Amino acid sequence: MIRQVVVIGLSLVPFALSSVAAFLAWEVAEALMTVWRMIFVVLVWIPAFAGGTQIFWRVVGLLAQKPRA
Amino acid sequence: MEGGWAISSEATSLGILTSAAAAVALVASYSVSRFESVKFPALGMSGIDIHKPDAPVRAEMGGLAVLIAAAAGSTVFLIFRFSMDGPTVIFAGAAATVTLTGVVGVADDITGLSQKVKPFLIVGASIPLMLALLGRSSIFVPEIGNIDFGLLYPLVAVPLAVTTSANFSNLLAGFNGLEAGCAAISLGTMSVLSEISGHPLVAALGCILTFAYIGFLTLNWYPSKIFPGDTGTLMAGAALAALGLASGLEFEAIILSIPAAMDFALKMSHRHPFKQRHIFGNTKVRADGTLEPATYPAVVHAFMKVSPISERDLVVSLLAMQAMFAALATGIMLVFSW
Repeated sequence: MIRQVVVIGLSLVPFALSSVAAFLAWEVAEALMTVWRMIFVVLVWIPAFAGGTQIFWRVVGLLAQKPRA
Repeated sequence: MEGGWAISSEATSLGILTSAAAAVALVASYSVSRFESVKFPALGMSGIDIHKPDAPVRAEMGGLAVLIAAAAGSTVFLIFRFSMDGPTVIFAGAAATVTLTGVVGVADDITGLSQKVKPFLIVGASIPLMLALLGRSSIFVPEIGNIDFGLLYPLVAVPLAVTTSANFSNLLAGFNGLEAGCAAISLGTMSVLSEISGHPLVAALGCILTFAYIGFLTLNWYPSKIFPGDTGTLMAGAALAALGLASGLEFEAIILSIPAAMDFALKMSHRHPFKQRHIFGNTKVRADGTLEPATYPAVVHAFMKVSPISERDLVVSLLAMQAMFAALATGIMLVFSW
């Protein structure tokens, strides 16, 4: 039960990581026009989200129980 | 005082009409699902429940009940509140897009549409919503503000959102009650948020769709008598996107899509994207009823990996995850709108 709750909590990692990355990208690309700036944000957000899901999966791998005989 | 009474009376009549339309959707969905669960296996519209030790045969394409219920509920609502004002046109556009996506799902369940054709058909289904939202051009993003996309909003963002969301919800699926449960939580949340943000007609549509899925869920819950098929899953995703776009709560709809988006990202990053089930096989059931995950990354496998879990408990865990993202979307909306 506790492990299931931990997995549920871990599922916040991709959202949190990609949100921070997107916000920083928005600030970094200040010189761009609004629409291009948003496209830049999306281009940063997608790999950040994918990276977050990989972190989620790796941590789940660390928590995983060995297969039963 | 008179004005206040008029607003209150309008809100009350809208509330009564929404409740009546939602009740129609609930009864229609339950009745049609019950009929399908008995008749469809005899007609050959059936699938095997591979997550049970005895692998029973169950009715497929149960999403047809949700489609009929959504159409019936929306029709009842429009008959008693017909007008050509903006909110009603958006209601009709969103309802048409959701039901047309359901029709694409029916075609997919019957004929097995090609993955190359399906997205184009869903883009076609999103045309009513594109037309209804032609005057809309911006998306609100918390901490950043309104971002103006001009004509790109109705012509690109709307069909892209509907198609992406419909295909996402088709991924996180395959366990008793999962698709309908996630749909009920997501659409119910969008309905409440639409009401709070001042879009009562979008909230009414959300309410109708939520009760359509709840009616179906009574027979789809573990141990399931009927499966939603692509009709139910595609429509759930399209409905989430349509409600988000219609109410201007695109960011909240994205948050509600995160569990499915995570599943997509995990499957996409694998060396055999979306061919894993053919290569590595399905989840297996152990003698004690717990599930043994296949060896490729997926959100459902994460729960199976960390401890032995039955199908019912797996679905409860996934619905709890969906509820957590619903709470997150609600919190973000409340914080940034006030």
